Formats: sequence, C-alpha cells, structure tokens
Amino acid sequence: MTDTKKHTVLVVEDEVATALAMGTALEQEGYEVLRAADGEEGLKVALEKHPDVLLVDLKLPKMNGMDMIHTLREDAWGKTARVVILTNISDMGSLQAAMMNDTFYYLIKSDSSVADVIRAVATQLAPPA
Amino acid sequence: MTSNAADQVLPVFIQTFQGSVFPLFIAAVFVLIVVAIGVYVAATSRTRAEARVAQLVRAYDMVTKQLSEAQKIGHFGSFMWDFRDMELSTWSDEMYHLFGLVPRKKAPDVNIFSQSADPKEEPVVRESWTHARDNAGPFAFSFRAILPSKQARYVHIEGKTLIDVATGERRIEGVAHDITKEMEIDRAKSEFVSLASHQLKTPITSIKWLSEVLLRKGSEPISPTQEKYINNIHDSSQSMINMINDLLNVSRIELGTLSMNITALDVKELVENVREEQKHSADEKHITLKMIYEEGLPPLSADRNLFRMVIQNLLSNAIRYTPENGSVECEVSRASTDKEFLFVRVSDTGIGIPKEERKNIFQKMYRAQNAQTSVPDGTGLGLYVVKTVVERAQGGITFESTEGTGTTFYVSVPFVWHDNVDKAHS
Repeated sequence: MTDTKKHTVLVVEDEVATALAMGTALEQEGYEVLRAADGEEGLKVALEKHPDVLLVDLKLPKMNGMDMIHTLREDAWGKTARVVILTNISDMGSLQAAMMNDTFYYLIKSDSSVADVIRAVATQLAPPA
Repeated sequence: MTSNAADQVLPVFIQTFQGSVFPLFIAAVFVLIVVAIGVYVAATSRTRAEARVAQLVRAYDMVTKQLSEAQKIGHFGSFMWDFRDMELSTWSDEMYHLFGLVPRKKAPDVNIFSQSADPKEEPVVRESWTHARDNAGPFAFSFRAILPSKQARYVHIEGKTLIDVATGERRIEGVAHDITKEMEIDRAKSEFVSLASHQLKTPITSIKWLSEVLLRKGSEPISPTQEKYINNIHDSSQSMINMINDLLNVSRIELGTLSMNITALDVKELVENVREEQKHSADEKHITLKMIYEEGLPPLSADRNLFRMVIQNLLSNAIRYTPENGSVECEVSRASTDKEFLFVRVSDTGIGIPKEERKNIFQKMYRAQNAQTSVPDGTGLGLYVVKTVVERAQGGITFESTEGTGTTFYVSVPFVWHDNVDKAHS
C-alpha cells in the first residue's frame, strides 16, 4: 500500500467546480493538493513546488495547458515530471499531434469519473513494473 | 311541273346555241372560277397553317425560355442520354453551368459525373453511376464536384433509367441540383452543435463529479434521502453527457471529422468498464446483467472511444428498453465464421422493435413508437452512431427482434481496424 500522504498533486484547472471535485476527492485519498487556475500560475507552482503528479486541463486562460506542458518540458525537473492531461477533446489524433513526441497520460473528462482521476494519479505514482 | 319546264327549255337552249362557241366559253369560265377558288382556299389554309406553326414555335420558345429561366433560378439542370442514338442525348444550359462547362449541342461523355467528382469521392460516385446506368428504375446520389475552374460544388443527381425489355436499349434522364448552399448550412449547423456540445460538457461534468464526491465514503455523512437525490443528480448528468456525446458524434460524422486513433485494447477490460458504468441503471430496475467472454481473446486494434461508444450504446439501450426484473446478456467472442473478426452479441428481454419500424431504426433521430412511449426522453442517435462507427471499421451490425419479447443485436468488427477516407454523401 502506497503512503499517499507523502505525495503532492497539482491541479491546474480553471473550472471552479471541476477543480473542487478533483481536489476534494484527492484530499480524501490523502494527497496534498496544490491548485492553479491558469497555465501561467500552474507553471510557476509546478517549478517552485515540484509536485509528484500534475493534473492539467488543456483549455486554460493566460497560457493553455499544451503550452504550459511544452514550457515545463524545457526545465530540467519538468522534463520528467508526471503529467495527466484532462480534456474534453475526444479527438486524440489532434491531441497527439500537439503533444508531438511527448508520452502522456490523458483523461477525457466527460467520459471519466472522479474514481478514474484518482486511479490515474495512483498509476503515475506506481513504480514501473 | 318542274320536269316539264326543263323538258321545254333544254331543246330551246340547244337549238339557240347550236354551232356556237359560247357554251365552251362558259365551261372554261366555270373551270377557271373553280380553280381560282381552289387556289384561294389552298393559299388561305397554308397561311393559316404557317401562322399556327409560327404560333407553336413561339410558344415552344417561350416554354423553353421559361424552363431555362426556372432551371437558372432553381439551380438545377436536366440531362438525357439516349443509348440508341447518342446524337439525341441532351443537356440543358444550366446543366453545363452547374458543371462549369460551355454549352454544346452534343451532351458530354456519359461518365462526366465520376470524371468531375472530387478524387476522394470518385470511386463511390463511379459505383453509384454504374449502378444507376445498369439498372432500370429511379436513382439518386450526391457528390462534391470539382469544376474546371477548381471551384467545388455539391451536386445532387436524381433521375431514372429506362430499359427496353425487348431490345435492351436504354435511356437515362434526370436532373442535377446544386446543393452547395444546403451543404454549407448543414455544415454550419453541425459546427454549431459541435461547439455548443463542447461548451455544455464542462459544466455537466462538474455536476457529475461533485455528486460523485458527495457519494464517496470519505465525505461527510448524508441521509438516505439526500443520497437518493444525489444519485438522481449523478444519473441525470450522466445521461446528459451521453446525449451530448451522441450529438457531438453525429456532428463529427456529418463534418467528416470522425477520425480514428488506433491503439491495442483489452476488449474484456473495456467492456467491463462500460458494464460498471451501466450497473447502477440495471440495478435500479432489477435487471440481471450477464456478461460472457471467450477466454484468450487477442487485443483489439481499434479506436478506444469509438469502440467504447458502440458497446456503451448497445448496453444502455438494452437496459433502457427492458422492463423491471428483465435480463440483458452481452457475449464477446471471436466470430465463428471468421476468426479475424470480433463478435459482440447484446440480447435483452425488452419491449422489442415493431416489425414495420425495423427498417428505420438505424436512421438518424428515428425512434420506434413503442420506444417513445416507454422511454419518452431519447435522441434516436445512438444506433445511427453505432452503425456508422461499425461500418467505418469495415464491420457489420444486424439484429433480430420480437415485439414484447426482446431484441438481440449482433456486431462484428475486424480485430484490426483501419482508418479510411470520408465517403461521398449518398
């Protein structure tokens, strides 16, 4: 059993209710939750606090999620940071094209449940098989 | 009395002019008068006939002009190919205009439709036209034409093929309609639906997720009534998400943007995931949900979202149209006839599909009468989307149903999906 209390998750989401749902559920699971409501703030918090997992919405004000991840990847720590993309775009072809060669884990928000989000975070934290 | 008078006058007359040329003169004059009358009558008749012909020609010209004008206003042209004598084949001026060609006396090549089709649609147009040409009866198809000026135009062709049973000689006649504007409006509508659906998804997902958080074990305690209400909020938001997804998928199909992202899938895991999602709806109606999986199924190389959509629609329909205490069974296996295909069977003990409505159930927004009565809310888009996706994957879908007893859907899709180009709008 993983000691989830040690792990920090950064939720970068501008939709207040969605961020509240994810944050509350993750806290209930014992994670420490950091929050950011736009891409710029998300990038700043990520580079300062080095969270264990980032949950990043794609459609964000100031700097969109895609640009935020691309900028994050230029940083020495950010290069290998564990990111889960949250999106309502179900066209993965265009998402893959935008992510270029970056490997990524994604969740289509409307097709997922809160339990799927928690599972996605746990999967990212699990040691590689 | 009259006879007696003639008997008396005639001998006197003969006697008077005997040996004279006068009677001959009279006869000649008489003949001349008759000839003159004849000539006059003939000349008058000819003038009248000529006037009538001129009148008919004027009327014909007027009708032709009106027809041509009507074709111009209505953006449609008429065509006729006569295979007995190709010289008799004709194209109206507007027909030439529709295809961006200069009007000529002789109709263009009989394969002009496929020749002018967008290369992406050419095979489908060629097939439609060959079928229309070779079979007597009405035909209709639409396609995107590329004019010599490189301008694109959507054209709808409608007509009939007449084949003489005795000689096999054929004639094809019909009209072509410029539907570019309609297509543009349709596209704008689909784009609007797509945009609106995306915008709706975000808040409804928030509602669903918050209701899930409230129902989680770690949350503050709630009363059974509150739990019931929150469950209702959750289910309603889930059904609204499904509805939005259906609308989005239909708009993608119509916009030609339903692309595939092929990855290796564990079929059992994916179907189980959908079953888990549907479990609550089945439990509420005390419906038994039985799953049968063939052991050792190979991975399915397919688009995750599209395949999920097929299973999700079939299972949710089965549960939705099955009365309380019924059963739904889902079998996933290799197809018995072709091991390269995955076979999915979804059977229910539901309301069934009325015989006379079976031919329509895959039509967009069609809902059978008994379905509308038993479940008032529904878009009638699910089976249309399922059929489109299955056929896009080069698979097939069939069903059998008995009204009041139940329905079984059979789906087969290849284990390896390939994305293919958009089809012509037919």
